[in-house]
Amino acid sequence: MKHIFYYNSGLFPYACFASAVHLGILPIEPFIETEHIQNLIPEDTGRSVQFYYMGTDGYQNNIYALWNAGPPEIVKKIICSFLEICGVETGEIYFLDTGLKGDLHSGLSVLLYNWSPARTAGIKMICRRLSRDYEKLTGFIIKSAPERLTKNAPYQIMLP
Amino acid sequence: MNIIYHCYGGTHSSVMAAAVHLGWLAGDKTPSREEILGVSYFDTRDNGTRGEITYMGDDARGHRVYIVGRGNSARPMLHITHRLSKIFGIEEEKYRFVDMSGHVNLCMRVGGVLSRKFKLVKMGRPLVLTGTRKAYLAIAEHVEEVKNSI
Repeated sequence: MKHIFYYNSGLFPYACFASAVHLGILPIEPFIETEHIQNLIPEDTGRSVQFYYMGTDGYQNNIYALWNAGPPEIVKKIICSFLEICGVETGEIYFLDTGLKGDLHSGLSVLLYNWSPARTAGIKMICRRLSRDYEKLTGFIIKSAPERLTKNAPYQIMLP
Repeated sequence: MNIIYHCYGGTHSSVMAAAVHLGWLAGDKTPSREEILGVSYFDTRDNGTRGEITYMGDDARGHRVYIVGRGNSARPMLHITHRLSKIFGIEEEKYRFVDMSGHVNLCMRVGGVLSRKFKLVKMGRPLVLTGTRKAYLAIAEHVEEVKNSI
């Protein structure tokens, strides 16, 4: 069993979407519906470090999403060395930094999402932003984990 | 239990704390410059080691003592490790993070930047040593509190 951590350093939850694509919750092909996205994003995204266990894929690998936690190289070392000193086998840990950077637009979309009166506007902005970066995101997942994204994998069920 | 002393660079205040904890340096008197320089990892680790939880030794009661430099990511580090312990079923009593950055004074800060960031060891190290000696008794007192509470 592998532990796969998707990571990005900004406020925008790229890691959350990347893990959702990996798990088959979101499709590989760009097809984004507001409600799917809304269900995925945690309520308090962008307020502090975000770290979630997202699920187990068809190969029994555990998938995690982690974002807004600072420099990826430090985060990776903290995860690996902490688990190591606590006696958890770290040989099977994969830390995948999406490398996608946020900007004013993506930051604003998350801030609006967190503010109840502007949530609808926030979710629309998040969807627009995600549509723009979706190809890069799925490209990254396919490149970094191709063997886990074969069509025969039981989790690879595309949304309608 | 794993005791993890942390500070910005993981090479000054946390190293001193670990040295006191392990009995390498006496907690009731300020050590000489030579004694401080004799402690492993003191003013030698750079940015590349940030995030690595480094083993220093076992104390008399069998607790394992570590140091880590976490840059400005103290809060993220604590959040991540807390979540990891929940996910992986690690008991919270198995580890304790102790922040030593509150003891870092201006001399240590300036000297540390010169020595570690700009590699101006000849200029930075004397400043770090002066600052460390000033902060030493407060660090030792903090470590004593930690030892008494575990």
